[in-house]
Amino acid sequence: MSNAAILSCYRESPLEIDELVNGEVWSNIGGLYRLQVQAIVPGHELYYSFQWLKSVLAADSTLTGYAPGGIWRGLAPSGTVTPFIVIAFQAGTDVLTMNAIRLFVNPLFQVKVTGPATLSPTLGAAAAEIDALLARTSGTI
Amino acid sequence: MSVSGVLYNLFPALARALRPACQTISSDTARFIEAAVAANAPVRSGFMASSAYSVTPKYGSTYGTMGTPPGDSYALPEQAPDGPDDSVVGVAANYGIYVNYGTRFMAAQPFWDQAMEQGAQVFPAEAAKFEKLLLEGL
Repeated sequence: MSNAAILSCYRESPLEIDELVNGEVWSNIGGLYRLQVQAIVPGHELYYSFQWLKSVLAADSTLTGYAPGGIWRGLAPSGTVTPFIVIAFQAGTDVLTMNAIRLFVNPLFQVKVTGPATLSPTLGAAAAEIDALLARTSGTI
Repeated sequence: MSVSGVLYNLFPALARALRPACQTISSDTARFIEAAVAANAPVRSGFMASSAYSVTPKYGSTYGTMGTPPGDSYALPEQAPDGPDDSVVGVAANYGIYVNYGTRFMAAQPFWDQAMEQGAQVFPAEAAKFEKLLLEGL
């Protein structure tokens, strides 16, 4: 039996941020993805969301080929091979009935691939693959 | 038998009251989000939290009331609304986006996204004031 139903997942906005890392420009490319998560087995919906996002992304060999550094929650450790993928919780609300029974949760996650801007074609391809895997989808975990 | 009565045509007055009512809803929501951004912002120097601003048709601009930028940081220019009925909320601190979305060496501290979410929660209540605002404008 599944722990949670991901009722929907869609991109709310794209994301592209450049930063200077030790004098080198790095790019973060991805998007903000909105999920609708309903727990089937009692548990925390955000934990289930992270599990689902990671399982969907990690199962795609094309994406793991573009991002050999792996998938990290919040922050990749220093020294991680690039490019790598970061998933982070940004915001979210509960959807309740009139008597405060939780129906589902609407969390917003950023999912981005990070690496030196010199790898921009690979970063762009990885971000497109992330979107192909997550945009307008649903599932269970 | 004749029927007599007094007719009131309030449509011109309603039309005049429409725009201020919509502007009030937009402005009050923006001011709420501005306060939420400032309240949610992580504080080290205080510059980023103080640089949250709004530009609204009802209250004007709150841009420019921020503290002194620390180090080599600076304030981004004020953003203008697209139209006379629109409002804008912004963070002038140039590094705000890195705090909200994180960097290579720092996890995200999503003060902005959470404020926007809080704003979306408040908007229905603000919009529900429409009829009252319309009547006040007559």
